[in-house]
Amino acid sequence: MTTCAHASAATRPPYRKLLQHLTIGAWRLLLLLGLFAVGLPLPAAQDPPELSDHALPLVDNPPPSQNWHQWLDIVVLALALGLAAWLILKRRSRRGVFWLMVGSLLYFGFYRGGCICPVGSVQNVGEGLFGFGVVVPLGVVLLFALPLIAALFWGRVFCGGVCPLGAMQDVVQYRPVKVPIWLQHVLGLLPYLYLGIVIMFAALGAGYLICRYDPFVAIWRFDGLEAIVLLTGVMMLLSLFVARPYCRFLCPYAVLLRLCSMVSRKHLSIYPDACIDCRLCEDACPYDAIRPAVHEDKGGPLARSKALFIVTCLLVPVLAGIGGFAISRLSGAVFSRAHPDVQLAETVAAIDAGRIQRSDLIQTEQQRLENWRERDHDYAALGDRAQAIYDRFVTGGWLVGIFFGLVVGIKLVSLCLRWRPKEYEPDRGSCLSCARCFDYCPGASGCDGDQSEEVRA
Amino acid sequence: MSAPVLPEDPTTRQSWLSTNRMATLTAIVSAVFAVVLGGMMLVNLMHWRALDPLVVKVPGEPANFTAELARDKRELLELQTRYEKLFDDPKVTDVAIAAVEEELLAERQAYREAELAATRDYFQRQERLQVGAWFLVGALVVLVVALEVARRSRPVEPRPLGEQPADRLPRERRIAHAAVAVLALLLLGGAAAAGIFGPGAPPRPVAPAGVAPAEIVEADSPPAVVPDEPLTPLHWPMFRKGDGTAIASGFTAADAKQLWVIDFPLPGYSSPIIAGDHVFLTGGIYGERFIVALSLDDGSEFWRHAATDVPDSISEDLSLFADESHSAETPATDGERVYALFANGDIIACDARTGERVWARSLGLPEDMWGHSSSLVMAESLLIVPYEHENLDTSGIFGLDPATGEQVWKHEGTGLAYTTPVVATIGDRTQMICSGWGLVSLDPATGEELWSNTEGDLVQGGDALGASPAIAGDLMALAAAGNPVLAFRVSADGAEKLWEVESYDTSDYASPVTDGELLWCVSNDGYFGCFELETGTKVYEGQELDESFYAALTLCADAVVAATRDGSVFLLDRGREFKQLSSFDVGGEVSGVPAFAAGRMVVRTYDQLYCFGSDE
Repeated sequence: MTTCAHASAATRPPYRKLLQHLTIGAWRLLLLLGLFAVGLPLPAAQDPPELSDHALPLVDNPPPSQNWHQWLDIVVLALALGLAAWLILKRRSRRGVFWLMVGSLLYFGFYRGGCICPVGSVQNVGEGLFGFGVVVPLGVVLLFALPLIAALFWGRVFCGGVCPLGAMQDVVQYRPVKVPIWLQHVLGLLPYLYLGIVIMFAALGAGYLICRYDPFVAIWRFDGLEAIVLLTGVMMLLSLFVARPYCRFLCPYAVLLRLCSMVSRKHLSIYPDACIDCRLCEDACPYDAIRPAVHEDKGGPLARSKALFIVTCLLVPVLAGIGGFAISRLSGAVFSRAHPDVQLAETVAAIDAGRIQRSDLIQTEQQRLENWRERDHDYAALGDRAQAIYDRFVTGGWLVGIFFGLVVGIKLVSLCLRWRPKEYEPDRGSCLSCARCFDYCPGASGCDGDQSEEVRA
Repeated sequence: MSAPVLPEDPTTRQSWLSTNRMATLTAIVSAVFAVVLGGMMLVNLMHWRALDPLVVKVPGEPANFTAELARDKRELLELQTRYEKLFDDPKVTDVAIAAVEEELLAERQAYREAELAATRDYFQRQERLQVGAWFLVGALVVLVVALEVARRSRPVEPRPLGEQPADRLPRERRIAHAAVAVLALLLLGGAAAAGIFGPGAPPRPVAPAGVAPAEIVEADSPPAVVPDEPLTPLHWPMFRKGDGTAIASGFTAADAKQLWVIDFPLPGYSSPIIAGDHVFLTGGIYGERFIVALSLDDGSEFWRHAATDVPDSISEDLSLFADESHSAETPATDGERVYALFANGDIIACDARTGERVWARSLGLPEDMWGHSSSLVMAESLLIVPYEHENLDTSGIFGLDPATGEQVWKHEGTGLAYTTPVVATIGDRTQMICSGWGLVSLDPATGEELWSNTEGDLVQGGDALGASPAIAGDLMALAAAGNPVLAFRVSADGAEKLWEVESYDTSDYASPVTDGELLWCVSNDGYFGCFELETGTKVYEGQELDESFYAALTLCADAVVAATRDGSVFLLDRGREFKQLSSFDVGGEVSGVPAFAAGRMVVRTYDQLYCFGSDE
């Protein structure tokens, strides 16, 4: 295979000139059409009609929601997960994974508009587990569970080939820069914090953060608030040079997938047979998920770090306490304001104090205020409700903070431990099963999993 | 997927025509294109949202109403006024009128074009956004393909075989250990600081001074007035004064100003009524419904009574339509007692002086998806309760003994009705004319049907009439949405149709008003029409105030009074010319009809009560 690659690089295809002209022509056409779409002046106004003969369309009631769609989603998801596992573990085909990713992007992203997705289902399940009297539909539970079950058997095949959010970032990945290891460890903590906050918001009725701040849904739906569109643009630009930034440093669902994948029954290996230490795959992974083989234990600073290890272990409960205190303060003061009842209490208090006028409110707030005045209009009850929600956010903040503090502590402890793989192998937690490394392994090039026997022979 | 391309000779330089370079160049161009296009779309999106014609930023004007458009409209209106005044000047020649008319037509055409262009701008921006989105997707597809081609054709420098990697892990992990510890502590410290110095617990809203809805204050304190003496005079004792005219003679637009305003946070679409110096209002929230008596002098509260413990009341099943309230029905008073009907069918009578309950009963829940809204009427010493809805078993028009609440008569319901009957003496007989699916006249003393006109062309819109008739002498006019403006001459035996005029100045809610000579009506969205009552001749039509109207029109001494859901009370000239005399801003929606007494006008908004008049 290496020989073939050299040959293809050395040969100049005869169609290159034609390709060049086509490419330049395509740029110009794209540019002209784009300017036409956005920047042309308005056409001259035509004479307005004296009287409109416009026939008012009949208004039909919208059809009931199509429940079969949800089950179709589940079937498609299950099939895609199975196909991804087969392509990654059996066929060892990056090309297949790529096209599966494109297909998932088209179906779950553009066709279904990014809703509902397993990533967002974390909120439904979190609300069902920790919320008050919320029943999660079976379909949503399945959407949530199937990728996790797949991760328990085959690693993060969902991330690699099925997730539309991951696919959006993967397909635009151009020259991913190497994020420093220390920064990866720091940023890698954010998904844990985000997971805790997301579940707290959902459970306490303050909204679904993942959906509200989905950075890609604006593309899939061709619509979105200005701030979200801007976020989308930033995330897409970032994805050109940082491999899957959302998946690695923000996605709360990835936390669960990572944990499942770490204990997965099977997982992809870079080489189909045995590692020959060629080091070709060392820089192949844009996610820094390949553990390099270390044959010589040169000792080094870790040999002196037993004391550090003990201190770090003792620090874990302290960190949990600090985390609980810090996040509980933040949660009460800031996060509780996202709840509609707390917002309403603040609005009513501000209006009655003359700080704002009713006309200052946006339409949703006005409607909320009117509904309260119409239906309830009980100042004491509203105050009690807002206080109760504030208290819940403080309690929730303690739980989230303790969880996050423990995560930080465990991360610190893990960084004290020795780690000496003898062969190049993917880190099961970080590996997104994108199958890029296959192409770099001379043992696997040009063959699939079935052919690995031949390679070995 | 093919393997990475390994160059044969590391010193070989790639031609600029190499696949890798072309793909890279394509990726760069398409990325720049996507960024530029995305930026332009973002700007376009912000402009587009700011131009939404359905969003009102300045009261009365849509968001796409530009300064230029406003100037054009102002000039057009000025020209229109100038043109109309020409006819009053006998010295002006026809030639001069024709010239101004020509100019007016040209201005009108120019204004229409400008308005059309503004609206078109909005939709063209919307269309461009949609087209731009497809181009953005196209650019992203090109970018993805180019990136993939570039990645696959990128030469890779192989590492020398056999060389072992340096054991860099301990150092990196040590740095990571320190970084995680420091930055996590910084993060948590920042979170704690934000929380500690943040706003703290949410403020507890406190009910404003005035009416406290949560407190049920029965009339324990002795009233400042002598009981057993009816309140007089009955200035405005029921909905639209009760006689179908809705004319208030004492109030003049010329020197009226705001006298007082109080918070009245008991929502309801019912109108205030006035007897003596008492203003009566109903309102409620879920599970709590009240009738309140306030002073006409300063808005202070005389008493309030909670409509609780009504026998057979079934308030827990009450489900309100979004545009309904717990008290859409206007109360009525005979000076001795005040009567109130609520959305759940509870009806109560209280002593008008003290607020003590006299009797209470339940009529059962009204079965109507839009809710019940017909108001109470006093006639022939009886309390008339128009309570027609879909359940014919409990639906009907009831005549009740005002002292006991006992049923004196019942007229079986004919179906839905949203209007309030008008009582008028025609000839020597008192008639109560009810409009719904047709016209039915009843004797208010006995409930006997005098005549009916339930066939023909009364209801053309497929729904019951929503606006009540206006009546003057033996002439009666209807201006309800879905139907032409209709006029009848009413006799003891029936109603003879005089004329009908197709007009879009009719309403689902706001009843018309007449002074016997002219008839004024207004559509839901603020188009005014005026007709001669006898002949149906159009005086003017389609004059716009561009606000939303629910409240019925009334007449004061010198003006047509029109209150809007956008928070204005307009006073229009009672003459043959559409002219705004003055207006009051009341800051909140007005759905009920203003009430008049002793040179004063009381206006109820969603949560406030205003009083206007002369302070002399």
